[in-house]
Amino acid sequence: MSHDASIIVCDDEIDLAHEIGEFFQGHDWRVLVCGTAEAARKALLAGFAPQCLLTDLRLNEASGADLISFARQLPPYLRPRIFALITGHAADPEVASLGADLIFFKPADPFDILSDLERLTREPGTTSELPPA
Amino acid sequence: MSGKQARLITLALIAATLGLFAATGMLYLAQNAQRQLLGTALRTAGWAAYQAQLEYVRTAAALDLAATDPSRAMLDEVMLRLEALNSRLPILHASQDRENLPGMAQFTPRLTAYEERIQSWLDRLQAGLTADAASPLLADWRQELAPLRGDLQELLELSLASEEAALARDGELAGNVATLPLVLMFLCGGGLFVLLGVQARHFRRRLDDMLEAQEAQRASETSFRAVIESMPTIIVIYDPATRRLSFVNHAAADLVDADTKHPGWQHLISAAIGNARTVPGDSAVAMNIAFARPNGEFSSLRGSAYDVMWEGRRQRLLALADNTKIRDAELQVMQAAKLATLGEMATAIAHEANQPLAVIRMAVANAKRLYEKGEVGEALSAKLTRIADQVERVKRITDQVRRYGRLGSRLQEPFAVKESISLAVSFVAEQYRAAGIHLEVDVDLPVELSVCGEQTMFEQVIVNLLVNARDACESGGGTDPAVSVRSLVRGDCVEISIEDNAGGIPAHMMQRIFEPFATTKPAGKGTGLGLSVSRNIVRDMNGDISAQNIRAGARFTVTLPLALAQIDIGEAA
Repeated sequence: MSHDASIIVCDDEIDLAHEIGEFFQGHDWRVLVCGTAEAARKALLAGFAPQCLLTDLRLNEASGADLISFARQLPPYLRPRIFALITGHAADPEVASLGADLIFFKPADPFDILSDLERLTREPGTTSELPPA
Repeated sequence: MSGKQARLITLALIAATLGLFAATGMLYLAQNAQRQLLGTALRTAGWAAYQAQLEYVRTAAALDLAATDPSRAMLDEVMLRLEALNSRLPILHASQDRENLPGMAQFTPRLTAYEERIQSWLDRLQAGLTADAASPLLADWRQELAPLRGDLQELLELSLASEEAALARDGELAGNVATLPLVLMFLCGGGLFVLLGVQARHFRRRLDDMLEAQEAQRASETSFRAVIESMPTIIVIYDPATRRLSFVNHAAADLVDADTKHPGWQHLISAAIGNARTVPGDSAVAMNIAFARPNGEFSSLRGSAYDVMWEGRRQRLLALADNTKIRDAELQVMQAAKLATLGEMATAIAHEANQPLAVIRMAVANAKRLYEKGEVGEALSAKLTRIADQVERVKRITDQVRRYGRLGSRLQEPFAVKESISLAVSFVAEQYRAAGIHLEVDVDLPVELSVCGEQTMFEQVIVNLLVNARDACESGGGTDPAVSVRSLVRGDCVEISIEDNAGGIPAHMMQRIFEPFATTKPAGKGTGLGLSVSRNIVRDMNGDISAQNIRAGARFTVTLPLALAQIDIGEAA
């Protein structure tokens, strides 16, 4: 895997967010871990511009779907290319309706998450555009 | 004999006794009067006339002597005698009894004339007399005084005759005075005798009636004893002061033991006292008892305690029905409702369990990578610690499920309210978080504050109310759904209220909200038994549950008596 791969992990279950972040870091990803949707928004606006946004579906103060919706409206040079949700709910939500490309169910296998995200990042058009000069 | 007649007899007895007392007093007075009369008669019988006559003789002698020898000494003697005589004469006519003498009227003027004359003589003697003038004068006085002798003699005879007649009359009167009291005494004594006879007869009848009533009562007690002996209801009669058994019927003996000294009886009485609650408007004390029988089985007993007279003294009767089968069925219903709730919560519980499992899975992957890279120091150790913490978290969740899902016991025991509320809240907290409902818990109770009941059932009540509030918030569509749990100690009770802002209970449902299958939830959601089961659980704990609409939502209030304030039926009954 080449390695400008990057990801923002957002989960109010902070231990889980750190473990996921650590796992991706161990696979040479650039990682930013956020405990809240607000922190993730700030990081995106600050120009972190990750390839992937992986967020919990139900965050304490907001919904992961709202965070994805927010991220999708960012300018192309700030916008992640891949949006993924992770949830512990047994119900099978409509992924498309949530605006995500992928959904994982806790306790998902980290290697599955990694391989799915890597697969999508290899697809054309998934690299962030350069910011305007 | 009626009570009125008995009262009349009593009054007559009092009157007769008073009559006897009066008659005795009258007899005493009559006797005393007779004695006084006799004394007076003796003192006055001719005595005054005799004394006057004697004084007359002395005076006449003194005048005779002084007429022949008118010396100063003789004149003084005359003067003394005249004064003495003059002092006697008024006694003969001036007193009341003398005036009443027959014929006294003719003597009174003469005696008065003598008194005046003697006084004039005394005046002359006082003025002084020469010897020459004295002799003839004294001789004249002697002559003038001579008729007095006859008068005094007549008066003496008259007095004696009169006193004799008076004595005879007094004697007659004295004899007659005792007649009235004696007659009265005989009458009263006779009346008293009759009355005592009537009263004795009356008492005899009453005694017969009482013996008859006693016999009837004994027969009634025997019948009553036979009835309660054969009843299926458990009947125990004991002395509330000593807790000593006086009676147990067959049903009670079957429950505990035929030997009334078996310790199980004291356990039963203690359980009855510990679970007693007063019933408003009823003298009886109601109770629900989970009784551990000597054979180890539990029996659910429901009944009341009454104060009764038994074997002549005040005792306490426990009348208990063994409703173990009904109670088992109730427990099954409660369990079914609980499991239904648990089923509805399964998704949320799975989500809650997935959180730590997800952490574990990620941490294991990271730990494996560290291990493969040979980084087995602090980083790996921290990873294992995190995994252990998450395993503990999963265990807490499964413990909660197991705890909530287990069949309730019949035992009513004290348990800490605060901890119990905390356990119930933690069971649904994740659902609230997931549903985006703000859950405020303000339970500022002492840790040791306890109520009596089955703890998991009480937790079921709180969980039911919280689940209902969550459902109401979810279906209410409010923008800022919130539920609060609050507590308050009021007197000997603790109140736990659960309040939401989901719009409240529809008016048409308010009256039947605690009835089975009454629900405001959409079809297919909920069993409709939650509130009904909750009410039964709270009632079993001698408490109360109520619902009301407040502000923007509904408030359910559970009121429970504190364990330390259990009523002692020794005081309450």
